[in-house]
Amino acid sequence: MEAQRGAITLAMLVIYGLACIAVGLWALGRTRNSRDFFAAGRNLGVWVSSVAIFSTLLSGFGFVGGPGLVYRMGTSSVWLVLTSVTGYVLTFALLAKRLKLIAELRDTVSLPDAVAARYGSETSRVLTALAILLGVMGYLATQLLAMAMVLRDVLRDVPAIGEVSLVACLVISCAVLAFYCVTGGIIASVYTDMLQGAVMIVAALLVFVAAQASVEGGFAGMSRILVADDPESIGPWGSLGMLACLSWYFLFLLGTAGQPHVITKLMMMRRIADAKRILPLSLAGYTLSALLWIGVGLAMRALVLSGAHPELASPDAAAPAFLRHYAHPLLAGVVFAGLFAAIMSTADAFLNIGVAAVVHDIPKALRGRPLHAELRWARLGTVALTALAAAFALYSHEVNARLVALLGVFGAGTFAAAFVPVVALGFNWKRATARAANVALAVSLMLNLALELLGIRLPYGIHGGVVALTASLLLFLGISLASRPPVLERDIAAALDA
Amino acid sequence: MRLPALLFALACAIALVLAAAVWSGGAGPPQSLVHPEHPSLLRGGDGALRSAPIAVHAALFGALQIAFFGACFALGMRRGSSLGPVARPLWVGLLLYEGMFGLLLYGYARYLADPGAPLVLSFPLPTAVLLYGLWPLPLVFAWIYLRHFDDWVVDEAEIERVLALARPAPDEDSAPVAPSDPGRDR
Repeated sequence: MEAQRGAITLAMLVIYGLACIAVGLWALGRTRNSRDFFAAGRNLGVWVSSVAIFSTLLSGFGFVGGPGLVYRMGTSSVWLVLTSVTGYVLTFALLAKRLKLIAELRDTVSLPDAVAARYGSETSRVLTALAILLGVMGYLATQLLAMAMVLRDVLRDVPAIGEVSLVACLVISCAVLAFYCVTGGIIASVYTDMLQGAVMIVAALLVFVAAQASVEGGFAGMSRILVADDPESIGPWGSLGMLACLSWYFLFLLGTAGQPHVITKLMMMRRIADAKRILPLSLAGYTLSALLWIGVGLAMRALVLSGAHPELASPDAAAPAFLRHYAHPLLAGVVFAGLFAAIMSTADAFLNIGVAAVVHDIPKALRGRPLHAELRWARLGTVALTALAAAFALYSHEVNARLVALLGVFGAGTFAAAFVPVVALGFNWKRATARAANVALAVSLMLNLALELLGIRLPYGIHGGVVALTASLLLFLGISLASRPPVLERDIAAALDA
Repeated sequence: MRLPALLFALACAIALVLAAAVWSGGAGPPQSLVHPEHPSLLRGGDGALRSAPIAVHAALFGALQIAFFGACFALGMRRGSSLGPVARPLWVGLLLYEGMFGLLLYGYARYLADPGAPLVLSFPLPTAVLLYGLWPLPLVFAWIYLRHFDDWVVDEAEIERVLALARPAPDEDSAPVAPSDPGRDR
């Protein structure tokens, strides 16, 4: 079976890809209008919502980047995982009820729709859509590139196929993604998330057990090796130190409630009462899947330090190297499918909210009404945005890597800085004003871009996103407190009071 | 103090702590070093030396952000201006959360003095506090949310009343109104 390792992994990916296409065809019949395409008719059940929420949040970063960070920094990056509980609890406490209420009251299909309804401001809609669009381009390009690279590595391990160009791998990956996103919109996205989430949980649990077994003495053995080399690396702050870890904690503790691809799902659940079951299910799913992050990272660091494994070319090679050398071929196949699933589940969510921004939100803000035949435009927009992001990813990979890095800053940190005050707090506080929301949105975008363009790095590893988040919180709260209470529509006021 | 004002005060305090840390940024040794034998790895080096200049900042930053989390949670859980049955468990949960963070700092101080101390549940003491204490402790807040979901968080009758506003209604229902009690929503 060892000789067939590459073929087994490829077979898993093919099965997974075909399943996604089948879901896309099934969802085609259920997508009758743009409300279905963008918001799944706001009629998702408990299980679908739960899995979609956690699998959307845990991207390929959780399967590759996360273990790589633990390998490189020790326990520092564990602080990102620790925010899972606080992040989910806060997101549900702040948004599950009131965001869903506003979605029902105003028949919204996107986050900018809800923001415009809450603040009664088209400027807020445009700024929200702009923040989403900028974030989506960076995120999506990175995810598409990651899919292509994973596929290329898998194909390389199959002797009968050998080397395939990155462009070809990108085209294949994007074709599968675009197919089910075009046919079924967000319905296909969330139902493929079900499949993707299940694969991710199984893969993560099995790998966690394999990681435990890969070092003599299990996690205690790993700890002893790490303490002997550098006690700080297995101490609570890892090799980055106290302020760096705490800045990550702050950013992601609050930031989960500002991730548009996640909170949009809260508008789609069938009933508000379902939140009671969705919270524990999605929290459990994320936590179980994140075990891979910690297990593989610590195991590979211990294996390299003890001389049992040669040094890795880069930290991102930690998970692939572990799978190749310490996991059963069948398990490796499941995990590679899980990795592909994790990347795709995030990419399809970004694709959908990005298309909503272009096809629904910006035209609605400019024209005062949606486009005619919006569903057709949504499908065309999905193809166009996929192609654009793929071209962008390829260009930045081959010619100018700084482009993706620049747009990459409009990622989790920018979403946190933009949407935690405006959405997470503003949907729970009647006194929050449209002016405060617009200033916070604009400043969060400009500050993140300025920090990146000027190459400003804060001392002690403090994440720049924390500065942007703190600034936008101060502006949002300060301006609102200093302003006269806004006059709200009766339904919005009632929703915020409920 | 009302919740948004408290949030503003906490955000100001966080900004001040971060500004003080950034201001003193030139002092002290680097936080991370490249491993001398394995360049793909980072080391922390001398923990006492690197943590000394920022220990107070870090303790304050951690305590403040937990308080900020608590205030945000309260903002989401309140109805009108009341926290109802949630208030007391929220305070207890917040104290536990702050206490666990304090225990982490205390454990780290002991770890710096004796890194070779016996492992606790496979990890050094402060890392065990982090993984088995600080990580799961916010489940207390999940419990509060779920425990009071039916009797406080979601009042079905209230939800129905609000949703009724979306249906075709007499003209007066669509007219903008000022908050009925300005003090209630601050």
